[in-house]
Amino acid sequence: MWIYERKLEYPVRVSGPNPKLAKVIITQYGGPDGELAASLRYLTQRYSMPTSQAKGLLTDIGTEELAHMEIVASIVYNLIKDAPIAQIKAAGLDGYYADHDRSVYFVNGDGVPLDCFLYPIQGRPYYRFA
Amino acid sequence: MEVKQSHMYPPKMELARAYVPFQMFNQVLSPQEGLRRGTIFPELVRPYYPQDRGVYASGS
Amino acid sequence: MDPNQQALLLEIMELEFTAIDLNLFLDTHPDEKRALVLFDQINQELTMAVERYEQMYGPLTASGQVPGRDHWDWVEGPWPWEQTF
Repeated sequence: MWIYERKLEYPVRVSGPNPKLAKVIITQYGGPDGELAASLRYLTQRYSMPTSQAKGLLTDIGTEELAHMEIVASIVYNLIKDAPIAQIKAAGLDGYYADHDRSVYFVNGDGVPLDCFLYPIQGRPYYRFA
Repeated sequence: MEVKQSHMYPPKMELARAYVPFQMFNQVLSPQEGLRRGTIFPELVRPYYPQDRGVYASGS
Repeated sequence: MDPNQQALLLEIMELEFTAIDLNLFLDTHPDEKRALVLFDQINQELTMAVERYEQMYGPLTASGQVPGRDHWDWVEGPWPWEQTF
């Protein structure tokens, strides 16, 4: 698989630094209900789907979630990149900064990295055609 | 006044089963509007209103 | 990013998003004729818009739609997280 297209799926406009906002938005990147979690779930669930519709939908949506990841990462990156250190500290991102500087990382709003421990990939979806 | 149905309910619904009404093709928004709203299907446009939180608001 | 590049990119986003949404719809409605026809129309416009963009601003995919480059410009120019709108 893959073709990569060098553009965002949806445009991003960040008017100025805001690490406080970045700390909350970042969970859409690396949190349990963020785009990375979604893409991993769908792209892995598709293998054991019984119908071609389900395989197709999970593939198409799973890959679209990767595009969404890029949008959220662009937002977070731009909110942090020009922020003064004092602002980063005030936002409670000083611990994050110590490990990751101004880069993006896959964490939730509390800085906990993505956890795949409880992903719902059971392999035998119950279905019945009426 | 006729209400245009944008979806179809499955026949003979059973207890303790989850169903998703089947979408029917109707209108589509322009590409400009579609990108802005996050969907090209007007029946799927569901903006988030914080004041509706906790209320079981149905789509139009 | 210059305003013309921005405008072209936005047009491509709008057309491509429409195609994606139709793609998902068709995954569960494979015989919906109106969706199939619209899908072809949108993709035609999209191909032309991408070609217009790539002529002026370089490739949107590694292979690109405009051949005959004498310089590999794939990595140059603003990357998606550097494109400000």
